[in-house]
Amino acid sequence: MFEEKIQDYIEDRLVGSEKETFEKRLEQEQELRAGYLQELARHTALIAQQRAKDKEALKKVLGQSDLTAQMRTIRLITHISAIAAGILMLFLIGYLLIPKQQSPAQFAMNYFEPYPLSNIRGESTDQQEVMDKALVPYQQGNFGEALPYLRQLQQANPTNSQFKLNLASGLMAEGQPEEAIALLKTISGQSADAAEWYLALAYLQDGQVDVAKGILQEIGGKSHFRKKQAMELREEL
Amino acid sequence: MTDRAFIQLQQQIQSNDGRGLRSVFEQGNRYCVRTLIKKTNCSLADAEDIFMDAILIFRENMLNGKLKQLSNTKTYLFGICWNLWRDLNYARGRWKREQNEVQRQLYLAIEPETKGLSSMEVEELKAEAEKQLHLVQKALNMLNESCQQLLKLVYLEKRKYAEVAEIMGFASANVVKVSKYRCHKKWLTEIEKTGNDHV
Repeated sequence: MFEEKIQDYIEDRLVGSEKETFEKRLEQEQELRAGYLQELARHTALIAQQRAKDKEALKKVLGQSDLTAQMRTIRLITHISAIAAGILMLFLIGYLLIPKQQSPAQFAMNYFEPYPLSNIRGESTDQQEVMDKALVPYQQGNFGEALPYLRQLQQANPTNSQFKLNLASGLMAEGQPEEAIALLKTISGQSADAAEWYLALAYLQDGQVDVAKGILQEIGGKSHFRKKQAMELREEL
Repeated sequence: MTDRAFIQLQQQIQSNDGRGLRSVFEQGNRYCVRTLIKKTNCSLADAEDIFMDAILIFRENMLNGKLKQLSNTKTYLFGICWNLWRDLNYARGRWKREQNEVQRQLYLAIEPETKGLSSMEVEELKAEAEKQLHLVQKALNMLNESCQQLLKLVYLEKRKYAEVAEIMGFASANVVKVSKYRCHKKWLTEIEKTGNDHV
């Protein structure tokens, strides 16, 4: 019976209290949640296949766009600049790769990847706008520019784990592990695994190697999405 | 856009008359691509690609009845482009750049569904969807024509049951619901069979 409900929910056919009740059950019942994820995977896979096919057909019908030559020239200049910047980057990377003794913070940053920003489509428009302002600088690596917006979102939603992770990640990228540690320690629930990994890195960045090693040991000893990296990093340390 | 023009566009899109989408494309193309580049600093290729995706969503919204009136085609299209750009960027933040068109569409289909899921569940969802990619379409093609059409109308075009009843000549929306459930079951069996054949 719940298979039908799952389908109705995915197809957006549940409304009002029926939808709310189903969402509550989804939060509480593991089996239902697993069934939902599997059905959702099939749906998204089918939609992706069909849209890719439709897009190809559409391109044939509509042809290429007729954008101005000016825009194409701009694109060419951008490409040339990107190649020049790439060559410079290679020199820089070559210089940086000369073996040096690494500090704990460097070890942490070797493994650090900014936590993906949460997509909050459907939340309040104000919050969505703030997230949009954070998105561009964050994706471009300008974390200092993104931080005020991430902080604003976290302060407006003090219990939201995703916003805590986003802010902590931005702080770590900006070399401010202490505040990140304080935030990450308060995360529980579904984001606890991600928080645990970032907490280990933040401690390492802060120079607290033994604490970091302890957390990495714990991650390595259980089923965790960063298990492999945690064991590698612990080994390196 | 006047009501009359809207109804005409709706009819053209519903009957697969290419003139409808062509006029939408021509109205929004330059504005959306330019504005996307200006606002997001994305590449021309990305902006053109996103605009093409937006046309597909526009068509879907027209077919599933989400779009009931249209005051300004350009700004409506740009709204879709903006959401798509955002979804694609969130997805690329998680998984890096897509390898091909199907994967791009998968990113775009998954991203709006990630709200409320943990990082691990999002990864599981993506992995499972990628695993199912080559199975779902094959399995759908194995069903009889009526089931194929029914599932396409319900899943891909997201039409209301009553509308599906009208299109396919079913007695009522309830009959559609029951038939869809049966077809879905057959589809699942075919997915399993196709999966086993691959193993």
